[in-house]
Amino acid sequence: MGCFDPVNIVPIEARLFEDCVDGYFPLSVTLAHLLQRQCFGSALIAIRVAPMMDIPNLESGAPVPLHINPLYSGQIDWLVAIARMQPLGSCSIVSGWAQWHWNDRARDKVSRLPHSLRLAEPAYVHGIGFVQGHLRTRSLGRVKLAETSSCVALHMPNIDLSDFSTDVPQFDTVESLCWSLNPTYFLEWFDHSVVGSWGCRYSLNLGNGSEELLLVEKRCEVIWRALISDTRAYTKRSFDAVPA
Amino acid sequence: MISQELNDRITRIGSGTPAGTVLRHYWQPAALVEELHASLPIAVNLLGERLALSRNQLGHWVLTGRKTQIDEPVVCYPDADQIQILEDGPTYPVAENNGIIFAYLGDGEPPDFPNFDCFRADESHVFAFKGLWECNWLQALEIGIDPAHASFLHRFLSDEDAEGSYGKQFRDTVVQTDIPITHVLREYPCPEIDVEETDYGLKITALRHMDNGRTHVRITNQIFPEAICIPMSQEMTITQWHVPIDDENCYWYAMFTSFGEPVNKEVMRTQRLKEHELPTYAPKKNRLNHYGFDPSEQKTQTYTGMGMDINVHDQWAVEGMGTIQDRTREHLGRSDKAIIRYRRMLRKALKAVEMGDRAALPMQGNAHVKTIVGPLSNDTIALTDDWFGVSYRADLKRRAACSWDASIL
Ligand SMILES: [Fe+2]
Repeated sequence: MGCFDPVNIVPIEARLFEDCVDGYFPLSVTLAHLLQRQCFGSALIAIRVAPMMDIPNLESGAPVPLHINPLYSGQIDWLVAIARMQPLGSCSIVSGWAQWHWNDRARDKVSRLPHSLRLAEPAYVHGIGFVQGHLRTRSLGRVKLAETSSCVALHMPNIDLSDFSTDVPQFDTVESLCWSLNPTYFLEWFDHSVVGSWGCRYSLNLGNGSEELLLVEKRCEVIWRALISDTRAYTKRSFDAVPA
Repeated sequence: MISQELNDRITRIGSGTPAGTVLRHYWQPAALVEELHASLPIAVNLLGERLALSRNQLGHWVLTGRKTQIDEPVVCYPDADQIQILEDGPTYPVAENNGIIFAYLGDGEPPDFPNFDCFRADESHVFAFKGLWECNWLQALEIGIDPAHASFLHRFLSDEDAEGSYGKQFRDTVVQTDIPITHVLREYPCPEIDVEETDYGLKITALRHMDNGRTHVRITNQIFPEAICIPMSQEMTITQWHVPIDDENCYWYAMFTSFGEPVNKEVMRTQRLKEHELPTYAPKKNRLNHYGFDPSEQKTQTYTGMGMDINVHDQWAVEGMGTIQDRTREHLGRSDKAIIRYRRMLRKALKAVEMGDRAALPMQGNAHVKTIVGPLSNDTIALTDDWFGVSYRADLKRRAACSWDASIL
């Protein structure tokens, strides 16, 4: 357990989501469309095994060519990033982690993905979206304080909530999952939570207490189930597992 | 618009290829039981391999490698006395299930069969058939998981009487209504599509919002790696595999499963034999005769002008893309949701087999394959607020009234 002050935990308006994003546009444009469609100010997103391309000298607003040169294409094995709406309706990718490979192996030596990156076909994206509000955060832009309870919270060192209502709703830290935005946890949570057991592998490992941390309550399971409704409704096990 | 390298990766199925390895981890339909009435052995051409199916002294089915004859076409059924079994060739496990001989061409132990309706139903309630498509298996599969295409490709400009619709797709009325499916598909061409990943693959829901706060709900499924399960009529579902013969040819194998009366196999076989040549099961309408295209029919009756058999429409659409669809020139849209989700599952599986992680594949490893039942597959019309409940209850009702054990709870 790291240092952890419940006073610094702020429940925020957030929602688990899944969506299908267009390809072909620069990724920042694609993600701006996603945020607008879902009415989020920012989002923590995950993409798995998606074909990508980066075409040299192609203006960001120009159409993609009819035929793709194999040297310009590759595959994202996984990508976790925070996408944030900018004032002019564009989107910036604030930070992210990814593993990928290019068909042009020489490009794999470069350890960053370019700003001009595009998805080569539409992709399935899921994550946690954050509603825009007045609370300024370092990692997620301006987020909205939860009015009632929320299963998502931020641990924010040195937070000053004096501008906001004094009754900040409770957030149950004991039963929560927590990341200092560690991509592996995030990916595993999304990919295995539906199939495997919940949360027990995750402990409140809070680092040195000076970073912003994202907390998601285990009770989220209910929301997650609602979101995917009856994904496993036709296996006998999941019928047993659906909460009454 | 993926690169040629990625397209090869997801389409080519020869021995040792990543996609071929994924498919080889699952039971594959290898022959119809009705084919075995010919003298044995019979040729089986599966996943790029030349095989022969015969019986051993104990009467068990045996699938072994056979010698390829000079100038042998890809789709061929040499006479039994022409088939030479390879002495040092492979031997594969075989299982017979409701009219189909399944084979396992992978390493290690074959997985269990899931408890799907087509396998659970009494033999009297399942009719199996197959047909040849001259194209890669993946494009054949992908048309089956696109719920929007039916509103265009299978558009009938007027509705037929549901009488005489037995054994045909899209000819019934919707459960508890007198609205023909053809009417719904034609009038509401832009479904809202929802895709969920499941234990067995994908559950695909197409919602067509109609007038008066009602919604048509059509639930279909992708069963990993290369099957679909879709409603055919109020009484029947179709579970259909798209099985590669080689990279450029495939068979669809279908199990028509009835929740009501026993299947009238004679009627269904006669309907289909009218459209197919034996022993290849090649469709009589094909590229050479322009799929029976008739411009006057197109003016007045159907979208394609290729007759009332929707299989021909699909066959034309997928063969028309070329033997292996050139996905370097493809632009999927967001309505291709299920195809996008499916390719994601496939690419994950390709990675898993390359890492030697078989357990990461759907319905393998620790998965309780035998507990997988269903999948739900029906057409209903509901008040929009309760579409999920209506579809679900209609399925339970059909299961409760079923003569074989179709229970899922
Ligand atoms: Fe079709």
